[in-house]
Amino acid sequence: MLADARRVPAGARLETDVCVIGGGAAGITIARELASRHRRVILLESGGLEGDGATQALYDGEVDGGLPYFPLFTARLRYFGGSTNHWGGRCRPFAAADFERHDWIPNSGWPIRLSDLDGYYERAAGLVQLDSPEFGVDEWADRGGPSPLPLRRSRIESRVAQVVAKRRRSFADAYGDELERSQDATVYLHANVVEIQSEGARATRVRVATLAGGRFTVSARVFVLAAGGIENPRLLLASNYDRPRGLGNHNDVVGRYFLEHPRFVAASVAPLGRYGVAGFYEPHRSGKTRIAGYLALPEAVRRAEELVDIQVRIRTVSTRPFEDAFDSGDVGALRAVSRRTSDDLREDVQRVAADLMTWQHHVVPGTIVPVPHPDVVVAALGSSTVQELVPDLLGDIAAVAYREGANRIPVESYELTTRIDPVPNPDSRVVLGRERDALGMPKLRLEWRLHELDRHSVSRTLELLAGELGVAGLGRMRTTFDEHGSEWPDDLSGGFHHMGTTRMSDDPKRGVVDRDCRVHGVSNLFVAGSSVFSTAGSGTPTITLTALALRLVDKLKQELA
Amino acid sequence: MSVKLTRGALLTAAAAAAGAAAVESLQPWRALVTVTPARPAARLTGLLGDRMSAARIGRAYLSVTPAEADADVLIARIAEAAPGGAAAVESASSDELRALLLAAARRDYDAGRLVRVDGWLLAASECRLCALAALAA
Repeated sequence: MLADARRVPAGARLETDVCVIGGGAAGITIARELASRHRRVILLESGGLEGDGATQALYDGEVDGGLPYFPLFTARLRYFGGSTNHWGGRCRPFAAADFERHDWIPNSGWPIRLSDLDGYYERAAGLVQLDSPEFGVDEWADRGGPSPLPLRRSRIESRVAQVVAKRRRSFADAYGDELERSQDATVYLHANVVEIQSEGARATRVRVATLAGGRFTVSARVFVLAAGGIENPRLLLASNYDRPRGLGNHNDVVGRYFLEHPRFVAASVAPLGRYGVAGFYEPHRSGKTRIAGYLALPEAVRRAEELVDIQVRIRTVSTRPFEDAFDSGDVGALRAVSRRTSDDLREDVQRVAADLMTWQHHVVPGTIVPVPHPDVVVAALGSSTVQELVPDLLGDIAAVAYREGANRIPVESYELTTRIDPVPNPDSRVVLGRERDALGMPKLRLEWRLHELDRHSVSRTLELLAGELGVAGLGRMRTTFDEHGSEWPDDLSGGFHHMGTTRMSDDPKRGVVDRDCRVHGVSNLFVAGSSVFSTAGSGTPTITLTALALRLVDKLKQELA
Repeated sequence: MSVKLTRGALLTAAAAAAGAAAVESLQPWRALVTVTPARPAARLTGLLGDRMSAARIGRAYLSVTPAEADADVLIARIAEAAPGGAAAVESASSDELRALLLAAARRDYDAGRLVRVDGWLLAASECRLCALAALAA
């Protein structure tokens, strides 16, 4: 059932089996899976069924001491459904390599493996309402839509993310009615948890406050903190009445290892064809499902080069950019256009590169078959060169055929956005600030930091991609990203992914929760959501945190049995 | 029977005689006239469709690699990247040369022999060909 916390009598002491703090994807998943006649669940949600300014303002905080970031009160949503109310819908599970420790990436590795999520990802796919549990590129490339670029898969791979339809993204819309009808779960709206109290190694109750001035407590056998990657550490740090460092923070790890998926426009490609060939990498329909492709280095290349995973999204920029930019009044678009037009060499590079490409059509003397027929190559240049030239020439054939059959939108350039799976950095963190919110809770300060390996990985990935685009005859890349510079580009931003701040590790000196998502040192306090991520991963957070929440549900059923 | 000399015949005969005489008069100088094959740089840059564009790229390249501002150096490095090396480049016809240069560029992209020119990541052999055009301009 749904209840209004503002109507709970002041000083009331509620009791339940499971107290879930936070009504986003993780909290809603856990509440509905656990609620039964044998297990009562109370879910405490700060906001109402719709957003309101006063509640949203409780998310306010500072961004200081590190990289620029969105204002904290805009980066997440504080009402029932949480950030699923503004989620972009992209879904892709983590890969096995995301969970493994890599010697060249500090603090990498999870205490669990991808196989520990067997079965949970499939169920999570159902909960987020995907059409299919399939993510292989070949599965999606043959359904009649645009095709991936003809790049050598051993060097550059295409990956697929599915995009959930907008009307299906909110967990509140999808599961709110079910929770409202439930006799075993009670969702208290407008209920703000301001402290988790504990005695010894057990959490005992949470203190709840409403903006209307009401106060009450909830006691439970088990508590699950599912308030998001910034709010989870805040609540632990603020629960410091008798623990100065906060709950679960005896090793000063809570709030550290803040992770995002930073992205910025890193390069552009001058195409060698008149029409766009990168439609596969824009959101589009494949069958009845919306998908979006992107490029990345295969795991073997990443290992050999010792890089973090960099994903490259491609946006086709069609002609008449000035008109579009001025019409839209989009300052960012205007800035991008002016960057392009200050590049005097772009047209020259396109002309020379296109010139080279036309040479393959010249007839080799003595034959009547035009190059690039392999037999002609053998006859004209000698067998010692065939092994070097034939793969390139076959690539040319593929490139030409692809260009001719591709999308007929005239293309001016391709804009490449790089998205980083960054090095977990303990100095990237959230800490309690000096100011307090309307409920008296300390606000947070975010100090977001990246690592030099992140910079190197962007630069090297672009170089390798430039090489493959050149081999395939698709275009020439331009980038102004300087690996050795000290500043990140002005358009560096995140994806509203807040991860790592109560990370998972079997070692309490390196993590806040163990492999079962139990807070180290507090036997009945668990954490759900992306704050438990040990790394940001190559996939997307929502489906992975939902899978982890389902795994936690099975653990909690054992705890409560 | 008598042969009637026409005006045209007379002119033709006169021209032939003059030409023969002219050639005859050049005989001592023939040894000084040699037919020079196209210079290697010109052979390469002559393949480019847009030499002005190439020259602009080439100037940008030479601004970051001033040590290569020498046609012989550039030609030697371009030939190194081509299948068959200098020998193949030297003996190739124009069309074969195009194929070799295209292959050289592809090899550079494949091997990561890229040069950053004003932010552009270009094959070294492409840049060197453009640099030749810049030197010739």
